[in-house]
Amino acid sequence: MSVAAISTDIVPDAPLAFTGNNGVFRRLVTRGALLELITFGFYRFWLTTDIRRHLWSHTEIDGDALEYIGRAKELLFGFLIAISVLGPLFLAYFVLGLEFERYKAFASLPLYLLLLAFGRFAAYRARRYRLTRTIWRGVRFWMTGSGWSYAARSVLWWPVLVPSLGFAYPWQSAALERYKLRHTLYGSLPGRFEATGWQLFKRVWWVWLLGLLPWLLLFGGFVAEFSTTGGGGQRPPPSGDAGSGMVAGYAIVLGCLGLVALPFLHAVRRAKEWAWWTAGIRFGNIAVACRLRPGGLIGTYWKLTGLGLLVFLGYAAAAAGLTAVLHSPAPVGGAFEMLLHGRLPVWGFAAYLAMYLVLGIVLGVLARIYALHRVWQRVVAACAVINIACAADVAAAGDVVSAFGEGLADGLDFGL
Amino acid sequence: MFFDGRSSRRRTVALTFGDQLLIAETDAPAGRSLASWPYNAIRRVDGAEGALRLACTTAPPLARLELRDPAIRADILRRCPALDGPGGVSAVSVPRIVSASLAAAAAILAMVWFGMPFLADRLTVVLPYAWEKPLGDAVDTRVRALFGAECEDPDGDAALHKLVGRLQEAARLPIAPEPVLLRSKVPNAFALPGGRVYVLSGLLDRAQSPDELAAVLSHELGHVAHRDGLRRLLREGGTSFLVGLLFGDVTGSGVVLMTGRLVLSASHSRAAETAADAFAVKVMHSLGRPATPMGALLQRITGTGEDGIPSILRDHPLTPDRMAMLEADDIPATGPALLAAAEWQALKRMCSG
Repeated sequence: MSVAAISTDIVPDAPLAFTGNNGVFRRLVTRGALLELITFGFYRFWLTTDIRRHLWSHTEIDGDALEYIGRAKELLFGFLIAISVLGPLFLAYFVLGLEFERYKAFASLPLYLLLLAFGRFAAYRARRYRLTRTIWRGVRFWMTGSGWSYAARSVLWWPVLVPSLGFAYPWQSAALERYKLRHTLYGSLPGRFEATGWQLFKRVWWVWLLGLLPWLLLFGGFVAEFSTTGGGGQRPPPSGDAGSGMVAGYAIVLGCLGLVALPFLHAVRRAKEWAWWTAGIRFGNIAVACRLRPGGLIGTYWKLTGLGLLVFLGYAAAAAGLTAVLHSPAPVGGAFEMLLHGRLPVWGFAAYLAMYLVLGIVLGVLARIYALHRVWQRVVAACAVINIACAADVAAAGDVVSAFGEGLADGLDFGL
Repeated sequence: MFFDGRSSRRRTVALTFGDQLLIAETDAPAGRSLASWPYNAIRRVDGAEGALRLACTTAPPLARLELRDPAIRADILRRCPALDGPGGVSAVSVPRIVSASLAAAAAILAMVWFGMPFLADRLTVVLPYAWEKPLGDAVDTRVRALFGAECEDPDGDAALHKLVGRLQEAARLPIAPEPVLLRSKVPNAFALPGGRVYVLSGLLDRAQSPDELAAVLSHELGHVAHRDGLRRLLREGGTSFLVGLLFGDVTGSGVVLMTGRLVLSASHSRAAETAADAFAVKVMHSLGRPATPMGALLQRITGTGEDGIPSILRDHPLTPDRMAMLEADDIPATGPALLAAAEWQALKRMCSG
């Protein structure tokens, strides 16, 4: 069945519902962020588990809620095991990096790419952990396949992705999703992915182009600016090139305006991607229909951007106020050295630090609420399942896997 | 609603509260017993709002029973003593997590605070001096890429090597330092592990006598002699690595820890700076030259270098204590000048070609 056929001919028979309460989630995340702070980050395993439990158990398919049976202890153990692997790995990375640098300056950068590839392996394994802890109607989801194979496939797409400035992303996404879903099963029901890269490309190429334009304008503008005004005085300025200088100025202004539109474009792109991805999922004959309109996520992302900016402005105002009170001209970076030399009172330094921490916490909480919870809410509300009857009697299968992947992802600083 | 954990089939069931909870099929064939759950093995798990979802530790692990009727729920709550016991979803004890985390954090921090510097010291002593060469070589290519081209002039080069050679006679480093003059507006000089010494022309331009330059260079050679570069690398590298790995990338905690680390490294570098100053004084005095010219040169340098890269003063602020230490017991010039006037001129001119 093609994707188009499903969305127009067949009426979905099982709605997806999200019953999560915004206030409850906000309290959960705020409390969690504060606890993360006072436990030096150790609380993150419990917070992640609680967030997932909230999201899963408030998502109902055909009246029955999903269940997340993962536990924070599993994440903690996975993390500890991962450190024992990452420790020697990072050390080897450092030593090898030194050797490469001796050979040629900045030659150790390719090693960083190896780390990124390893991150893809960790992402696959982490997904497997999450899926095997997801239960619906008493049957577990699980995954086969190999994390290394997935990492290799991801890496093979990079030489295509970068030169194309990201336009090849739809095909990369389709290929990787096909691999992932081919190896995903619900009990004994295998999954597959039937949407194509071209379908996504058709819908998002213009959004991506509009998103790239501000950066290209800014880049071009700055380059032109420096080459017309002579940069740092090393070269004598060329004789009168006012025309191209003004063009450069316009380019920069336009570029900045364009940046303002980025949250809007991002929201549209994400909405289209979600709609495309959900419409491509199959489990047996079961499919998903998504009514999420392209503008459906704009409100969410704009709220996030707007609130984030407000918070940052508040922080800037407070910092400026503090600076005025202390009569000290140094920014936060130099604040520490000023403290050492006795030019900044300890309470002043503590105040700067506290404000910075609060900023970090609030931004983190906002991101979790909007980019995670609200988006989940909207996507789920717009989706419905087709042919749910095929899931009426699926035999259970699959086994749990360890949280090693999650631990790796945590150590490599990725992940939810 | 009952799910037997072996298939996704949804069954409507009737419950009987006997010695155990009897779960029986209501659809045809009616009355067939599906499962029997002991009360003390029943646990609560996550369910939808308004529904009580239960599992049983003696049943297939994924079997679930969902109850929406309030009366039956009340019954269950009365009869099952261990609904939140092990094996189910129990409310996590936050105070315990907090105290355990704080204890772990304290232990790790203590190890890092006390253990890491100690470890770095021990390792530095043990590692052969020759091992520092790869480190210096590795950074050499980057330094040249960052700062500028080498100034090449045979007379100036000879003067520079003579100056550094005199210093090496007094300092007696295991590997003779190889000086390089780089063209840069930044007034700075530094020595890397393994004996590479870099002088930036910004510093040279501001120096008014060979003694001034020599004093600053011998300070840098002091760092090399004391292997401060390697020690700092081991200490800070090890600390960052451990802390970053263990505590993860969490907003807030990272900044707090980094602040602590800065305190630590600042106090250590104070000690290293004082030791390097003492080394410089010793070298200059053994050559029969005064050491206070270093203070004069540093005083002439103010603010940051023009490229925005901080001057030598950022890492070595000229505090009154430091000035006093340089002046204490200073000797007048008793030994021969380190460079002849012609050689000094050649050196000063080296980067203007």
